[in-house]
Amino acid sequence: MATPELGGIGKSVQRKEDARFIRGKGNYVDDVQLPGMLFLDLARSPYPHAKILAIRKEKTLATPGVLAVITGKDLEAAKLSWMPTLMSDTQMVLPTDTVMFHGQEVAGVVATDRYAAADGVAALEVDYEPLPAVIDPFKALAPGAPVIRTDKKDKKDNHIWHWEVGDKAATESALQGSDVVVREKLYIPRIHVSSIETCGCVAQVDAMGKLTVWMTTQAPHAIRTVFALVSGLPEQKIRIISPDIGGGFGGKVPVYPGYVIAVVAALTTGHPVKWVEDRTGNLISDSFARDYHIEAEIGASKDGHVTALRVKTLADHGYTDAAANPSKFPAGLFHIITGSYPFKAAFVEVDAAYTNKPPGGIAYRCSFRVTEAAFAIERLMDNLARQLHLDPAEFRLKNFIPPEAFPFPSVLGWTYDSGNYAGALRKAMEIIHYADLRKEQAEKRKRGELMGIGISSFTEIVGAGPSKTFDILGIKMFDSAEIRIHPTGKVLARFGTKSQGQAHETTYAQILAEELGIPVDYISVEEGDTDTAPYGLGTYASRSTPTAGAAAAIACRKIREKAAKIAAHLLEVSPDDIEWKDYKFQVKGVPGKSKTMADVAFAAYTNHPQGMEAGLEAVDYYDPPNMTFPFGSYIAVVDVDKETGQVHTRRFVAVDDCGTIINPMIVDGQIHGGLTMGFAPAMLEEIPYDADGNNRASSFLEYLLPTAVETPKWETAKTTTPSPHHPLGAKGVGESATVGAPAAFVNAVLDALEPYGISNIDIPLTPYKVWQAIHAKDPK
Amino acid sequence: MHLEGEFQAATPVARVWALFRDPVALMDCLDDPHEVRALDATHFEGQVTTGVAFIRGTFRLRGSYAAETPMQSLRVQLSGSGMGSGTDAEIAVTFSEQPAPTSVRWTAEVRMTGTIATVGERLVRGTVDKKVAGLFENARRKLAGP
Repeated sequence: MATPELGGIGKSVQRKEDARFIRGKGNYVDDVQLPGMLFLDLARSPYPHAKILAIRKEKTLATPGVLAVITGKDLEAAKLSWMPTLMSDTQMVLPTDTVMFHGQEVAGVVATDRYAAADGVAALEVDYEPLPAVIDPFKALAPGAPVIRTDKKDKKDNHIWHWEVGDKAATESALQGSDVVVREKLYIPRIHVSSIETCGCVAQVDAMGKLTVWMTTQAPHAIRTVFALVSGLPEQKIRIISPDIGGGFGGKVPVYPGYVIAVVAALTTGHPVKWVEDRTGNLISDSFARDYHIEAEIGASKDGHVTALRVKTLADHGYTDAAANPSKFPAGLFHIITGSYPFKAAFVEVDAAYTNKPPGGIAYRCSFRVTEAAFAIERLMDNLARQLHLDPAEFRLKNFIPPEAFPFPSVLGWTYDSGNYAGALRKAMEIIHYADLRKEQAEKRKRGELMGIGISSFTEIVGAGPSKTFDILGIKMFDSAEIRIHPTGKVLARFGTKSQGQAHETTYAQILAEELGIPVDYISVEEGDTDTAPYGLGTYASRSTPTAGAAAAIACRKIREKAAKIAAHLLEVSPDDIEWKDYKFQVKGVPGKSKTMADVAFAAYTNHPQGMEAGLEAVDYYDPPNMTFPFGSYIAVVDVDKETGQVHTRRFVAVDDCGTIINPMIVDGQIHGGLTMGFAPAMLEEIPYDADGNNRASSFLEYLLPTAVETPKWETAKTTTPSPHHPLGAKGVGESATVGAPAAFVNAVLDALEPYGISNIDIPLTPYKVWQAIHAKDPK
Repeated sequence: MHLEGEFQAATPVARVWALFRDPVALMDCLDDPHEVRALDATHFEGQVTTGVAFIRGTFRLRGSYAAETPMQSLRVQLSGSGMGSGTDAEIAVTFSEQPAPTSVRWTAEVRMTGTIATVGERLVRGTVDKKVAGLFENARRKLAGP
């Protein structure tokens, strides 16, 4: 049989995992079927804030098939009615006396099938006494506002935390000394990741008391540790298995009440229990993203150089801070907000407020508030360019951090690893024929037609993290790879991360192929089982390739070190005479005398040097020395219908730089998906609440995901600026496009509306909002 | 959801107009238990206890008279919220003395959001139709009385 192609770094190898996905053979949580399995459904609160006066179980328990009803009072006895969030706040598993948001879980109903469980939920009688709901975070912080977290002793208001970074006095002084200062208020509304697979789990306790939970989680190891700490179960008696996942985007990092209730149900009934939430449950109760009210000022000299940036933000976290940010950074990495520009002074402050909404502040395909930051700076740069009567591309090119300035220390404390921002923007301008578009726009404006060109030149920050700075609930943010080469030269590789569609089985295999000279087809990648995979912090924030990918490369190099000695033994030369070249161990200067890794692997089990340990494997726990900083420049071209406010995206060019590219096809796929998830919040998605606290987007009828019909055609291109500190030069790419795209769309629409002097429309830019903005300026 | 209807009131247009221009009297034509109070000349609020499909409970009601031409037409904007749901309705009513004494034509555009919207228009249309039509039928009866 012919040896398959190596498929190393830089090759568009077809996704190995697609062999099962495209045939419908994926194995998701809801595919798990166990003998005697019961089903859990959850009753939810119709009120955003209310006292629970009584929960009457009788009719539910009389419903055919219903076996049990679990309430907060039941959990309270086991001290499980509350649990910690990933930000060291507390959240209810089930309420004992008060509900905090519309859609909150109120009770669990366990039945022999999911329909009986749903009937049991419908039959449950709960008496509520409505309480005033606090929905607006500004009102939540106003004096006299009803206090939401009365469970917290001595809590007298709804303020959660204040965080600030930068030099306040220097920023004030620089702004005062600026020739031009632009101020803008931006609201980035609450949105939801809406992965196609909702959250769910199957919990099983075996005869030896070991708990196994198949769970939709992006971070199985961290979840196991949290489960052990909360429940008191010994950690070795807990196994979390994260099978195939149908999209995570950050929404499957937190621990949701349904998981815990299913575990309690399994422990108390002795049966496996499955919980899979429905779409409405997912949309009204799982953690949300964004909800940032930003007030920003940016200054410049009259010759067009930026001087200072000051940002004040109010974050609406809902009734608990359940974000998944590093402990040190409660506002995540929002202080990447100086973006691609060398500000001399900046000051950022963020306050967080409780409101009667579900937990907020998790990601939406972006690492720790980076989208909010990139959106704000790129919107401000456009407004500032307009104020200075400069072309926004010219203005950015004048202000970019130059390539020779890297590693660049930002004024807010980051050290950017590498970049060539002007290179990316110039490439995008060339592809889209920027100068021609500006000419076309000028002609159209003369005819009264609204055409806009929007730029976003973002810098991301991913790959958490250096453990000295980054942790989740105190667990340091490293990641891991464990690689074993079998005697026949085939490989089993296990990782602490967890793919949710990113194609880790292919990308990691390509890294191993490159480092070991073993074809991708001979490499099996496993993740997501805490009994077998090495400990890691999981997949989110574009961290897998920067951390576990690096661990893979280093573990391979450890293997190569040992393998070189075995090769020397086989070739009867000194190890010093061996070199790794052309994916083989060769005797220096004698290319014909060589051994492949497969030869060496066989020898490692059958003919290894005496005194050397048998076998060929290595583990690496990689603690990155720094974050990586992917970047890109996007240009959108839109036409706006002034009569209807409808925005048509004519072209969208995305030039990304994620350092070394492992698989160009997969990177392109990531960027296509990311751009669509950047387009969505810019133009369509929002979870609005009415003044009384009702979620008004509890289905896909109202929460508008873009379909193929609405999604623009993406034109993608790359530049490559490797990270100097990553073993492969890779930076991570899963979220770049979601981070960079929204500002390009909004800047394009506002550029189209330039004749009306409109400086901002809050996203999503629905036709009605755009029409209203035009109509307010031109009521004709 | 678009609803419409008409009825003949056996009373002069001035009395019909007075009923429709009085939010407390008009909302009294609802079959469901309710409380409504006028806030000023054009705004009112209150609550109504009702049920549509499986969503039952007390909804907060806010309303305003958006536009009016005395004795000829008026437009009422209503919004209800509660039980995880929201309803926005715009009701347009025109009055005519042809045929005499008064002809009342109405249209209603109803938009539902939140949990109630997940039920689907086809399932809730019957109930909403009945409730809106009931309001106008009760108004007709009221106007037929002394």
